[in-house]
Amino acid sequence: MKVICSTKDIASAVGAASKVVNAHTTVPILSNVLLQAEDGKVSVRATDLELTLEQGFAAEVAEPGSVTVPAKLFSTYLANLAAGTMELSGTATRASVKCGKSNYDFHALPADEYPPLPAVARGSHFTINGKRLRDGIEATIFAASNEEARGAVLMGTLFEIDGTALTMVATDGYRLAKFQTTLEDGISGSERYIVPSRALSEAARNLSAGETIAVSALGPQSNQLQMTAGDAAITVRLVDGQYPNYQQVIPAKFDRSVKVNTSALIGCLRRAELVAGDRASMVKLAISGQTLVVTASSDVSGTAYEEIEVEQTGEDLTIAFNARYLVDILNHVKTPQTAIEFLGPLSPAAIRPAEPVEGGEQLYVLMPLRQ
Amino acid sequence: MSGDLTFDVIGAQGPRRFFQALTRDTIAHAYLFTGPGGTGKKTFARRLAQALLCRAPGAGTAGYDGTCDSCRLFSAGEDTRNPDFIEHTGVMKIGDPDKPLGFYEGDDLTSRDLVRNLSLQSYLGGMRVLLLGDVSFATPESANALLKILEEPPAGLVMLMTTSAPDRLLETIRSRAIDVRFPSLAPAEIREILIRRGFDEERAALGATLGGGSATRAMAALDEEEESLRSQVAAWFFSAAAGGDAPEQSWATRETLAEGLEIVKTLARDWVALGVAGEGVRLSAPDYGTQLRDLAPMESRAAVAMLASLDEAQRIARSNVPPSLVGEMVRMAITRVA
Repeated sequence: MKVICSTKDIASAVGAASKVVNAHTTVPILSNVLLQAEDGKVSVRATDLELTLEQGFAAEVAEPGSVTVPAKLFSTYLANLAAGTMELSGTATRASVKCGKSNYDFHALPADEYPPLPAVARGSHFTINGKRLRDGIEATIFAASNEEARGAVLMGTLFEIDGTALTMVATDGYRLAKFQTTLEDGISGSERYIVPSRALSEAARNLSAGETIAVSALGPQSNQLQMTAGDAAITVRLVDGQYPNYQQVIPAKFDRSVKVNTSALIGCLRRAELVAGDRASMVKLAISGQTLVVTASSDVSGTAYEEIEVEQTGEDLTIAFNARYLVDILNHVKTPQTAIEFLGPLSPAAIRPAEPVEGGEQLYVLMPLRQ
Repeated sequence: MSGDLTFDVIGAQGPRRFFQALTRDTIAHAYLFTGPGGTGKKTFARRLAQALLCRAPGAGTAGYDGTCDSCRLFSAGEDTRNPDFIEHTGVMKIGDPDKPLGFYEGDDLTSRDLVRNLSLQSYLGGMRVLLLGDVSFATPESANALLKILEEPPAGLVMLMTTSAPDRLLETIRSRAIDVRFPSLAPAEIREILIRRGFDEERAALGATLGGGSATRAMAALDEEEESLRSQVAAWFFSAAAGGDAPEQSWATRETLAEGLEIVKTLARDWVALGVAGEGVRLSAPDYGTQLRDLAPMESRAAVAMLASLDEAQRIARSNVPPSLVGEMVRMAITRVA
């Protein structure tokens, strides 16, 4: 392999891919980055065998080929180079850099020993607007479980694709987040993937929102999901398992509802939660006569009472929630008004933006607490 | 195509036939390889893993082609590994529940790491093999963490565990895996293994006799051989048998006397056997064959007397007599016949 490239381009690509490299790996080649040069482009890849990051950059490729170099060493070296051009050549055991009057040889490992990614599975390729995907990720992954003991399935986010419709769902059993949007290019038929949430937050950070993101399933059993935007790609191993039937926890109909100022309610809940103390952060919401009364109390801290005016439909109701969960949800409602629907004090409540939001439809379901 | 497949193990004919009768579809999800240490259980498990993950047509329990993408990662050595083959040797710990999330394969793979890894799909899209060599668990919790995998294994997972002490495993683990017994290796098999590991013919033959059915023990014995008691005793023995001038009895100490006497007896018996039965007799210490043949053959009466004196020396050695005295007694018994 032999390429001539800008030191800045290669430094930022190697730096970006290296983030995923695990310093404590027992497999030496996994502490390396793989550089592959072909067709005027170099792609840099690193993996911890769960998440794979790829970052490409344009370069003059004099001789196509690939090389693997220790990620930390190489990225630190590149970060310390002055702006300019450099020549990188690689063999199975050596990567050599010529830059101005300096020459460096790095020990390499054979590129064909780097774990390959599986091939693209047929018929499961779709594209989505970058902003929509990012909105969806932000709107859902916070609700996924972070308790390993509850299993990897609930720690993931469900991607349900049916034609051009994408539904993203995350739940930890107490709350559920759902985001529905449309794809640019859909698939024929339907697919379900459970994507580890960690990979999605990485995707939201790394893939630029301005572009179209191409998503492909890799491997014969849709083992990995690859999200590509421009020169960057994130590939993640999917969770093996069945996602629970989330439709079951969303009540089919509600008999009363309120419309409330989002930020006012967040303020009330945050203050009341301070008093609720350790009783699962329990706050009571009493709705009556176009007024919402938030109360909380504990033996240790005292009592709280707050009143907000709301638009009420249906009968009066008193219901209790975990304040923290409710605040988490309201923080993801971007409209000034929030609609909350109820079906009695012991059924889950549905929370959504009061006005439609461009790009996607959000729905949250929260289990009430027993009073 | 299956003509091009190999399954490179020495010995283990029984396990070989057992797995050949299975396919990727009929193979169970957990096996426990039992048998003495050094009989090739882990090697067999690695080959089986390579075969199950091989991408060549027809590959499976029958063997692997050695050249596909997957096989290349197996044969490349220590620097890499197949992402769908997880190997851990020794004690499994439960792992730290407070460890930050994210796929983490630290210096020490834990039960929690494993559970997490196995909750994801396979990396390359095929089967997955987990090898727990010399399996043992630090705590019952670390074993119980794996029970769920054993009870509801993810599709396409084969878990291979090896142990020379199956009784030490929790019954809950044992009962969920199929026992596959590995017999001791024959000397010829050990010889072949040693030759493949780069030992020359002569050393390999020696290792095969010293190994006692275990390749690991054979290699350990060869490593120590140079410095070993056996070579010290042998040097002393031949010097004494040549009637030399009272060689130093460095082996006759309180700690090594009993073992040293056994070695003297082995050599003495070989010497007698050569005298009585002549060439073609099977020696217990073939590596010293040349030197033994150089010794003068003895009369049978002298031979009986020497062996009797050695027995007597062994008896005295168990008493409070100074070891050097016992050594001297043995030297006299030997030089008398010589």
